[in-house]
Amino acid sequence: MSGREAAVSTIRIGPVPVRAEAADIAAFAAATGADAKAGVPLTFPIRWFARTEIRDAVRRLTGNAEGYLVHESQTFAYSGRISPNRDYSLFAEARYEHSPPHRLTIHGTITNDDGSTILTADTILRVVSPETMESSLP
Amino acid sequence: VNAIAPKAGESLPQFPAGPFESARTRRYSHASLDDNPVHTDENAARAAGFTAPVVHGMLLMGLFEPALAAWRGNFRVDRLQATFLRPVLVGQGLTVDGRVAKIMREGDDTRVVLRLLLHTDAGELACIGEVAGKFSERPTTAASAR
Repeated sequence: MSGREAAVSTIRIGPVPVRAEAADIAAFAAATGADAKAGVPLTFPIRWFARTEIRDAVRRLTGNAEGYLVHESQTFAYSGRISPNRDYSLFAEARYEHSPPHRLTIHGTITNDDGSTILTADTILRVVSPETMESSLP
Repeated sequence: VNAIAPKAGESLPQFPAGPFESARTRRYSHASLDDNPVHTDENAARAAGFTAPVVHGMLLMGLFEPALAAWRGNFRVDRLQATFLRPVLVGQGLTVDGRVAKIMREGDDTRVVLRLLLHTDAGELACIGEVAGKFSERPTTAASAR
C-alpha cells in the first residue's frame, strides 16, 4: 500500500434488517438502568452495530488486524423515536486508517420502511495492538 | 420530577452510579452483544494491561438516560454524544453531573443543550457528554418523554 489514499479503506454495509424486540429492550434497560416502560433506550441501537454482518465487514476492512477496539466517541442523532417490535433497516459506512492511530469510524443510518432516516449513529474507535495497549491509554 | 422549564447554567443533580461489578458488565455484554472479554474476564483484562475488567464505554453512556430522567420528565432527547477519556474499571464508583449549556425557545417548547460529566470516585473525569433535546411545558406521558 502506498500513498495517502491507499492508507485508508472504506466499506459499505447494508441494508441489514434490525428490530428492537421487547425482551431485548427489557434486558438492555435492566443493564443500563434506563426505564424500559419509557420505550427503547436511547443507546439501544448500539446493539445493532454488534451484529455479525457488521463485525464480519469490519474484520474484512481492517484485514483482521489484531488488537483491542478502544471506543473514543459515540453520537446518536434522532429524527424520530425507535419503536419496539418494528422493522428498520441499517446502513453503514466504515472507514479504517491502516497507519497509526489506526482509527476505525462507522457512520450508521437507521431508516424506516419508507426509506426516511430515523437515526444516525457515529462511532469512532481505535484498533490498539496488545503490545501498545498500556502506553496508549489516556 | 421537576416540571419547571430549565435555565441556562442550571446544574443537574448529581447522579451516583456503580460501582459496577462483573455481574453487571456481563449482563450488559449480553444485552448489547458486545462480547469483548476485556469487559468481563479478569485474565483478558490483565492481558490488556488493566488491573480489572473495563466497564463498557456504552454502559457509561447509557447512564445519561436515567440521570436525565431524574432531572426532568418532560425532556425529549434528540441528540446525544459521548467522548470516552479514560477507562473505568469494575469496582469503581461513578457520578454523573452536568449543567445546562444553552437554552432556546421554540414555540411552546424549550430547546436545551446540556453538558454532562462522568467522574470516577477517585475524581477522575472518565467521560464527557453533550445532550440536546426539547423540554415541553405541556405534560407528556413517560413513553413520549424522549
